[in-house]
Amino acid sequence: MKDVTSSLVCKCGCGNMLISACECTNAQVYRAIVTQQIKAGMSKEEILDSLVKMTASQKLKDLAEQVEREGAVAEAAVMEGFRQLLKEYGVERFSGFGFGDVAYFLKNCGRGEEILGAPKAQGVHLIGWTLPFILLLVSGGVIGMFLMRLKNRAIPAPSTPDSASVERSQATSSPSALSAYEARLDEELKKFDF
Amino acid sequence: MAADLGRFSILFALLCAAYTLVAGIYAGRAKDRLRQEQWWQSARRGLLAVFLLCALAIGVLIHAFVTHNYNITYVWSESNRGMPVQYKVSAVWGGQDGSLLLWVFVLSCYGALMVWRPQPTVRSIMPYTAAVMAITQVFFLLLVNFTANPFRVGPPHGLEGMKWPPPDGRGLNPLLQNYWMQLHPPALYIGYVGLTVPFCYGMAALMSGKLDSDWIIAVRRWTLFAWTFLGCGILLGGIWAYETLSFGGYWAWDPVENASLIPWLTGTAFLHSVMIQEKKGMLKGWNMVLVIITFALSIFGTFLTRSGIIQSVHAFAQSGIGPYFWTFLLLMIILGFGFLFLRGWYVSAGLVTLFTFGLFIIHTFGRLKTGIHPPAPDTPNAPLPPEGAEYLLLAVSFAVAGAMAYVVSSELIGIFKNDGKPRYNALQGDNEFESWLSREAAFLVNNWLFVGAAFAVLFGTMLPNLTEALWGAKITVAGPYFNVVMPPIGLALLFLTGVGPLIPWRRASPKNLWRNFRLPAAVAGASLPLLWLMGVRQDAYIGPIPISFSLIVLATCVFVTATIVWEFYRGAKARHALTGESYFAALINLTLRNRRRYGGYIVHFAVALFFAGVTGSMMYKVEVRKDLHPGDTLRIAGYELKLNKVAIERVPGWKESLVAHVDVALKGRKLLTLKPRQDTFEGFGRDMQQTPIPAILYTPQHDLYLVLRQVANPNNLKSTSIHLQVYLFPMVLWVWVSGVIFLIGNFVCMLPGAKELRAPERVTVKGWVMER
Repeated sequence: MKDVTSSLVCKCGCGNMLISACECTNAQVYRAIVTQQIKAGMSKEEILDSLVKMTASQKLKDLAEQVEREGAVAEAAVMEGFRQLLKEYGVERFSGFGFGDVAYFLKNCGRGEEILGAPKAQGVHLIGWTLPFILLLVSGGVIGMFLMRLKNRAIPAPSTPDSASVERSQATSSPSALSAYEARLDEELKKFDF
Repeated sequence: MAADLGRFSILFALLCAAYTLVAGIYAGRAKDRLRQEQWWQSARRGLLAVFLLCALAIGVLIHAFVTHNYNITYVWSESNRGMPVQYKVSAVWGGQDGSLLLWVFVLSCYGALMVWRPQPTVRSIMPYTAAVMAITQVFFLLLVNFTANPFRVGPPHGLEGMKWPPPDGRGLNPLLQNYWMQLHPPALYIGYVGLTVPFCYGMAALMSGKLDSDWIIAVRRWTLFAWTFLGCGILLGGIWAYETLSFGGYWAWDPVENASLIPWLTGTAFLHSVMIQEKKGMLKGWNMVLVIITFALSIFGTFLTRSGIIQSVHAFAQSGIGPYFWTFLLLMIILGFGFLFLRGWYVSAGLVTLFTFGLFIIHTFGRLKTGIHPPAPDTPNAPLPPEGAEYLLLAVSFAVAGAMAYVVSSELIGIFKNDGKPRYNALQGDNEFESWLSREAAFLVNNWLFVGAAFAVLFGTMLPNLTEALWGAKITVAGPYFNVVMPPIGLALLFLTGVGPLIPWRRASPKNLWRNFRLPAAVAGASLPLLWLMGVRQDAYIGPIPISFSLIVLATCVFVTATIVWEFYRGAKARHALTGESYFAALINLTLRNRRRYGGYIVHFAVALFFAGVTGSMMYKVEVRKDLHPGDTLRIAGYELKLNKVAIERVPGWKESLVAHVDVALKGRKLLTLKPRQDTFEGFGRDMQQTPIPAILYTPQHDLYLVLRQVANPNNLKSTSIHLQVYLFPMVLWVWVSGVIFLIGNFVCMLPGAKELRAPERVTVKGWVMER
């Protein structure tokens, strides 16, 4: 239940709160629908798909327009129409909500994919999911190339041997001298540390 | 009278800022030293005058709130007589007009402090610094004077017929009547506005051509100060959300939250990359880019908050002034990249242009194609700009982007033809890079990840607009998106927090690595089975690997902490051996003598603690809901919650609360009574809905968080049932504690050294005292 309602957002104007956390009528109706769908044995994916389809359906839009047009006069027809609509999406029982709640839900439930907290990772939305990582990889590659170039540039051989290079060449002549040289280098490097 | 005084103050402040702009530029361009000094002193006094006038204006507004001066429209709109006096003061920034005045006031404080005693090393660029500060002040003062004037008098549009002045005000938005709201906006503003200072210095260095590292050194503490406050402001916003919004969390990846996080992330990148310029003379141009985009993103954040182009819980701050911010943002970026371009950093100029252009396309096409318009202004004196202005901006943006695309492409071709060297680059660093295993490399990876994280947050925030503009599809991008995209980047940054400081400059040898990391790695390795046994294994597994993400995060936190403790221990031990001081004295002196280094470690420890707190509280929270009658009990994690009674509490003229008295017992022993409540605030024309305010038992292990969702029968409280929502948030207290440690660490970093406290040397030329 929590898993499903944490994937849905409330579009009533409360600022995209998750349905699991929101307490407005819209969220309460959603939670009631999801509870029934879970009881009907639907999986998380099936529930989310069905809600996206339901909120994008023409029937729901018609009901919302009917409420807008006729108001409370159409109460019986709207309630019946809404129950029928819910049945198509696996909700056999819908109770505890009045016409006002349903009218609010029809107006504020959101439409289609926008009720999901994140777009499905398919089609054009794959760009949205992957672009930050692609750019990170590309920029990482560019930085790597830049550093590689700097690294290559940083090791030109000195034209005349200075004392350090003489020392280095002497140091590399035997393993014990090498470790002594490395120890000294470490000491020197420590001075650079802040 | 008060309104007139306020109006005149901000009008004169505008004139002074405009004068400072001219005087600053004149001083910067003057060849003669004496003339330069005279104009600089004049510009300096201009900024001081702006500060005094803004202080007067905000003082007048606070006085008007406290004395119920409802003749002023803004005071009527945001307060009423019944409110406690502390909320009357915080109501000053409760609405748009006042919050902009607070912004201007904070900006004027920064302006005055910046020129009060500038460091001698950057003395020559100070005139330009003052001029850039003045440009920003002029923009905000124009807004405060002509579109969002908090001293406007008379009934608002739509209510022209009402008796004026009214006997009482409308009251403040109930959600803002919380003590954290007295701290969160000012802290955030100090952070946001403070990011103007590094921008001023950076721009001044670019304008004057003095591009060595002096400006970086001068600006480091300013940036640290602003960054600290921005971080604390964000965290205070989290506490406010946690204690007021009762949605069961403190961070929801709301666009406005994101807008404050983005400049904080780029600011973090800047704070790290300045070190590499100081030590190695690298990344001069890149630091300029970071300064410009951090400032631009702080303005962009304000634009997001105000424009209403994105749905947000911060809707109370929305109005029609977003486009003005957008225009200012564009102008500042043009100014920034223009000078970068002049100094030869073509590629960065191109990047900034593309960034601006991208944002502009999203904004403008998003609006044109999808019909998203700023909502009707909440305050009547914030008219929408003409649509034509947007087309003009679009044309300018196209022209600038086209020119830049031409220059950048030709420059890139030139670079490749010319063995990687640009034709001319005043920002060319003394680039030396020896090894991938060096602190330089760690800093670069740090910058890469922080800017990448900032981009990811920005991109996700703008994705709904982008998708709608490009494909006409309406989508929502909220927590479920960010909770997937951000954790890997966050984990990489956390790991780097531990690794980076212990890698030496230039190059690390295997011996170095073994010496520095053997113990922390062993401790972190040992923590894995311990954490597993403690139950850190409930969240999703990473693919087929039987290790949960939270386990990895917490083990990395242990690793980071171990590296820091190890560093402190080694330092204190060495000092103890050298000086004979006690270990404790050695630890304190070590920290005080290497403030930046050890202050940084303290901040890093705060980061590790923060990650641990967030992981525990978000991934292991437990929620229970139940209907209770008086006498009923509910059990959760060993706690026994018993509804004692439901009562009503009134504060005449301010609010009425339905309060549930819930006795909390642990193992049969009563601990305390928690009182979750529903507040209904009095006030004309305000939302009269009940606002649930949670009651929280804070413990180091977990927080017990009670929300009174519903009172079934408010007319019969003796027998009514309530709907209670109970959360158990593990380790959330450590998130707030990490904020305190973060503050302490930054305070240590900011402490001045003895050398800095010394007064600058002064000379007198023709009666003018100048600093050397």
